[in-house]
Amino acid sequence: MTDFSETYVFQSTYAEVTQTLATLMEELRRVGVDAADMATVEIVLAEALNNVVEHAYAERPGNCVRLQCTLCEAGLCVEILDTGAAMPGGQVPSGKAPCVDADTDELPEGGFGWNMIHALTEHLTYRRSGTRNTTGFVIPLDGLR
Amino acid sequence: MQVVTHSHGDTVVASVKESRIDAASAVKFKDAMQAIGRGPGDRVILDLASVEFLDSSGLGAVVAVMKAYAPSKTLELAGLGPVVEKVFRLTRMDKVFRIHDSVPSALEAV
Repeated sequence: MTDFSETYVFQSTYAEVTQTLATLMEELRRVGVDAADMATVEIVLAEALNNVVEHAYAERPGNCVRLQCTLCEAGLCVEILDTGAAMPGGQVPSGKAPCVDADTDELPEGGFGWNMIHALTEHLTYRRSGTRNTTGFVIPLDGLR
Repeated sequence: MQVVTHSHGDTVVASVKESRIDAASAVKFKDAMQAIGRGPGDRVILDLASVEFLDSSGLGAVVAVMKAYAPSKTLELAGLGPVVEKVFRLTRMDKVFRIHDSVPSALEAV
């Protein structure tokens, strides 16, 4: 697998998240990441980046998101930078899985994202500095082992 | 958001003809499925064979549709690709829905 390190800067809309992920996926495919690992990467990054749009920026367009991805020994090392609202309590949500053992009318329709991020990443970090949020994690890639 | 329907007796197969059900398209998906829910049939099979990617917003939308259909209609799933299957499995929602390998096998199942 060749060296890979890319930085993407895009506007805070769901459409731009999708477009940026499409670009990243194509670049990962070109450097030899397999389909299963690409699925994991896309699932994690869609959740993390959509959270920035929805929560950090409250879906207000016209704001910037910076995504940095580097292939390292441990997997894909990711850093996301935004200047939106801080995470509640100054830390990453615990990602407790919503309860699915419920009657149909009480099934959860949300709250799945952080549980998936926790399940699929390691070394999850969050730092607030001035007006900047920096969120980092590593996505282990099975194809690298 | 294109969803094509075919009726088989009391069963309606709703085939999503988009490659993504995600934060950008979840609301349009829900709207399309609500319109189908107002139509005939008491068993709806959601054919996801064309859907290559679904995130937590898409998952939430599928759950919302199932809840809105109940109790008069049931919602089952068919043709889950690898990414969609992974999201349902990670969230344990694969235990909540009746999931079929394909539309033909869903139609054969009672």
